[in-house]
Parts: sequence; C-alpha cells; structure tokens
Amino acid sequence: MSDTTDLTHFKKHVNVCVWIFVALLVFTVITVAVAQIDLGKTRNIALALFIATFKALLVAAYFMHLNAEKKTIFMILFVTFAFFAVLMFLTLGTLSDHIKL
Amino acid sequence: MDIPYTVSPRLDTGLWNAKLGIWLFLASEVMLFGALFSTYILLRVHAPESGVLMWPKGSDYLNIPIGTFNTAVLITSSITVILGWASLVMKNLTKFRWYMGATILCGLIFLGVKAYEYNEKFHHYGIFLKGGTVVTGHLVSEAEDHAMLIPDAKGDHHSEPKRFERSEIVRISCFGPKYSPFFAIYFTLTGLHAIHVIGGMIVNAYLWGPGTRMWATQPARFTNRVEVAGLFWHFVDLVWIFLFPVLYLL
Repeated sequence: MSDTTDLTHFKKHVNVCVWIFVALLVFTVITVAVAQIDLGKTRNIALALFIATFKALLVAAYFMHLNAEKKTIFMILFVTFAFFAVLMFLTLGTLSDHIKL
Repeated sequence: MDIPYTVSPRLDTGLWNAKLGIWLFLASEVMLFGALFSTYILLRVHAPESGVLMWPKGSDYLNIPIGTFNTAVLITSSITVILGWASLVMKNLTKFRWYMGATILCGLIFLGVKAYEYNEKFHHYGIFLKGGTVVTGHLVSEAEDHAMLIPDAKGDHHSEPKRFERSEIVRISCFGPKYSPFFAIYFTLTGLHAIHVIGGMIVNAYLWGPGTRMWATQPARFTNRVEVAGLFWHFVDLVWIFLFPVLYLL
C-alpha cells in the first residue's frame, strides 16, 4: 500500500474516533437520564452497567485500537478477563449464603 | 548498544517493546481495580436493608451534574490525546503540543472538580444518635457536653442550629471514609483513580515538555511513546466510565 493510501486510511480512523467521542458524550447523557427513571432496582443497575460496558467497548475498540490489534494482546486480555470474571463471581457467590439458598 | 524493537515490531509477537509492556501493565491494572469493584459488590450485597448503614443511592450524597461534567471532561481528554498522537503521525509537532496541552488541562479540571467534591464531603457531618437515627448537616461547634449542627435544609425550609447533648450521641463523623461503607469504598475507588490521573498527567506533561527533544532524533520512537501514554490515559477514562454510574447513579 502506498503512503498516501495509508494516510487516507489513518485520517478516516481519526474521524471515526471523533464520532466515537460524540457517541460517548451522548451515552453519558443517556446513562444519567435512564437512572432518573424508576425501572426497579435490578433493572436500573442492569441498564446502567449495560450502557457503561458498551461505552467501555467503544473506548477499547477505537481509542485503544483493539479493533485492529495483534493476537498477542488478545491472549493477554483473555487471561486477564478470565481471572477478572472469577474475581467477580467469587464475590457474587457469597450471595447464596446471604439469601440462604 | 541500541535496544531492539523500540520502533519496529518483533516478528513473533508483532509488537514493539513498549506496546507489549503497556498491555501487560494494563492487565495488572484490570486486576487491581477488579479487586476493588469486587469489594464494592461484596459491601453492597451484604449491607443491611434498613438502618443507618443501609446502602444509599449515590445521588443521595453525590452531585450528579458535577459527576456528569467530570465524565465529559475525561472523555474529552481521551479524544485530545488521540488527536495529539495523530498529529505526530502526520508529522506536526506544534499541533501535538496543543492537543497534549488540552489533555493535561482536562486532567487538571477533573482533579480540581474532584478536590471540590472531596472538600465538600469533609465539611458535611452526620451525628449518629442513640436509637439509630442520623442527623446530617453542617457542624457549627463541638464541645465536651454537646454539639451544635445546622441540619440539612428540606425544600425551602431554612434550618436553625440545633443542639445535641453528648449523652444522646453515639458518634459524630464527616462524610469521610469512616462515615459508612459506601463512603469508604467511594474514597478508595475515586482516590485510586485520581492517583492514576495524576500519574498519567505527569507522563503527559513530560511528553509535552522535555520529552519532545526525542522528536528531533527519533520521531517514530517518540510517536510510539505518546501512543503508549495514550493507552494508559484511555484506561483511566475507561475505569471512570464504570465508576460514574456505580457510585453516582445506582
């Protein structure tokens, strides 16, 4: 690929990042707005965390370039998130004691 | 001797040194914050369902507009750091300096707002009374036998200072970490996050100032350094994306 094509592609990537920035601001406003609506405690928590996860994925994919990253990085992240999930579920496991299951 | 793979990637990993290094570091950071989020869940799930230690809604104590503003500031700093790095890729150091300067400024605004929030909390008090009630407000004075507090106003009603005898008081605390498990985890999470913001700002300030000397001799390596600093900065933003709803909204 020529340098000009590379640069055009790069500029497109930067433009996408600017739109992602706008989307992140919009989703921040949406997060605040839906938190004001009483959907029930569980639904409110689930919705807020769903939006936050979506925003985090946008940051990781576009700002941190994970949408075009090397396999080695995904291997590191896979191990990390496996342990992260264990950490979360170990904690949630204490719920079974709490509600006497 | 030159250090290999500072600019060009290794054939086996496809990565240059700093890129591999920062992702390994970020992986350890995920576990650090993960442990604290796990603590948050544990505290929240096991909080009593009534009484003074009941888990509050974040907005009962924290200011949502201020939190929203700070979220926007951090997101803005994420795009400016990208635009700074992109300027270097397009060989424009002057533009990089402007964007990196804006990133540092956003970091300063974020910390300033956080300091304001912390200060407010340390000047707001709760008096825990025998019988399980808590009166919150601004502490006027505290003596050996009594305490004077202006209770928080309800609606348009303006509160007058109220006297509490020591014999009816269990404890007096500002809205600091010792006030409740909510504030303990709030200060731990936001404090650790603020330390990360400060760390990122120091690196960004170095790259904005004396670090630019490298641009004259090794522009590609300098661009890589900025990219790596940016990855850390985005991680700091990503953590806040979860902290904001978890602490302020839920």
